Amino acid sequence: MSQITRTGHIQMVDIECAREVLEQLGASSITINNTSITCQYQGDSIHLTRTVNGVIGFTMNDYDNRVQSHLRVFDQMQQKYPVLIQEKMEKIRLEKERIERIRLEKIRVEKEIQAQKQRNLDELNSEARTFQLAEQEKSAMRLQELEVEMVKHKAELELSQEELNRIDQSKKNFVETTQKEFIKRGEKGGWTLSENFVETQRNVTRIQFRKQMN
Amino acid sequence: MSQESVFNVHTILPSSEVYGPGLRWVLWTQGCTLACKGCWNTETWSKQKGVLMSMSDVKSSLDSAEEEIEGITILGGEPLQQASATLELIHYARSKNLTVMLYTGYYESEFDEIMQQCFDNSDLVIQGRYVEEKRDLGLLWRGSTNQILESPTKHYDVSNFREAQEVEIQIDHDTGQVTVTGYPDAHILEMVEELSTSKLSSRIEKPKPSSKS
Repeated sequence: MSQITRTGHIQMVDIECAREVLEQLGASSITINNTSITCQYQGDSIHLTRTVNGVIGFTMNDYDNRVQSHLRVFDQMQQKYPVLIQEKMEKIRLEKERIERIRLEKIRVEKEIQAQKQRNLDELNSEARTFQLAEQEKSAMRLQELEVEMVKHKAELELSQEELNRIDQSKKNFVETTQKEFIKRGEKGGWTLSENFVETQRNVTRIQFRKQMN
Repeated sequence: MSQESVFNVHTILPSSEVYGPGLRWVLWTQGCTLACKGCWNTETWSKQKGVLMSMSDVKSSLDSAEEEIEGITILGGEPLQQASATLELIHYARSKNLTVMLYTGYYESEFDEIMQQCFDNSDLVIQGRYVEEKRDLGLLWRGSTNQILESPTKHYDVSNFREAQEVEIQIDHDTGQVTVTGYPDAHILEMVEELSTSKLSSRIEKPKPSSKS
C-alpha cells in the first residue's frame, strides 16, 4: 500500500537554540549535554533526548504519567524554535540595513568635510570663519561617531552571522547523519539503495530503496 | 465566460521516482467513495478535506517542477471521481510532452465517457480496487495482485518493468522534515520514527495519500 509519512515540519537540531527556547519558556536548571537536555518546567522535571542524528525529542510510552508535561513543553518548543530562527535571520537583515545606512551617511559626511576644506577660509570674515571651523569640527565628530557605530554594528552582525552559521552547520550535520543512518539501516533491513542524491532545486536529499522480488 | 476547473487536491510532490518510470511530478487527489477494505489512507476519502486548487494553480505547480521530469502521476483519493479536472491535467501534461501515469480504483467496465478519455490518454494506468486479501508489497507500483498495469497509449512496454518494492525518503535540508513515499515496510517506518523528533508513535503524521485505491 502506497503512502506518505511525514515527520514534524521542523526538526529541532540546534542545541543552543533549544536552550534559548527553553529559557524563553521560563524553564530553569537547564542542563545540556551531547545526548540529552534536562530542565525544570512548571514544576515538572523534563528529560529530552538527542537522537544519533541530533534531533531533539523524547522517548516515552503513552501511558507514562509524565507524558503530558513532556508533550506540553515539547509542543511549545516546536512552535517557538522556528520563530527564534526567523528572529535571528531578521536581526541579521536589520543589522545589514543599519550598516548600509551608516555607510551612506559616512559618505555624505565625508563629502561635506571635503567641501568644507575646499572653501577658502582667508576670504571669509572672522565671524564666518569661526562658524566654518565649528562646522568642520562638527562634521569630523559626526564622522567619528559613525565609525564607532559602524564597528559596533559590524561586530553585532558578525556575532549573529556566526550564530546562523552554527545553526546551518547543525542542519548540515543532521542531514548528513540522517542520510547515512537511513542507508545503513535500510540496507540492514534487506533493502538495496537505488538512488542517493541531492535535488538542488528543492534542497532535498533523495534516497530510494528497492527490494527485488523473486 | 467558462468557469475554471477546480481540483480537490490532497498533496502535490514536485518530484518522485517511486510512482512510475523516471522522475515524476505527483498529485494526490482528495476524495474517494470506493472505500476499499484495508485502505491505509482513509484521510484521502473525504471530499470535505483537501485543498481546492484552481486548474491554473495546478498547472503552475507542474510548470515549476524540475525540467528533467519524465512525466506526471495522478493518484488519490480517486482521480476519476474528478474526471473532468483530471482529463484537463492529462491534456496539459501531454501538451508539455510529459508522460502520464494514472491510478484508478475503477475498472474499465465502470468508466463513463470522460473517465474513458482519461484512460485512453494515459501512458500508464493502474486500474482496479485495492483488495486486502490479495495484498502484495512486492508488486511494482501496485498494492494487490488484482490491480492491472497497462499502457493505453502503448508508450511503455509494461513487460519491461520488473516487479519490485520501492520506497523513497526525502530529507528537507531547510526544515529537516523527512517524507517517506512509496511502499515502505515496518522496518523503514520504524527507522524513520527512530530518527525523527519524537519516538511517540502518535507524534508522527500517519500515512496520508493513497495511490492504490
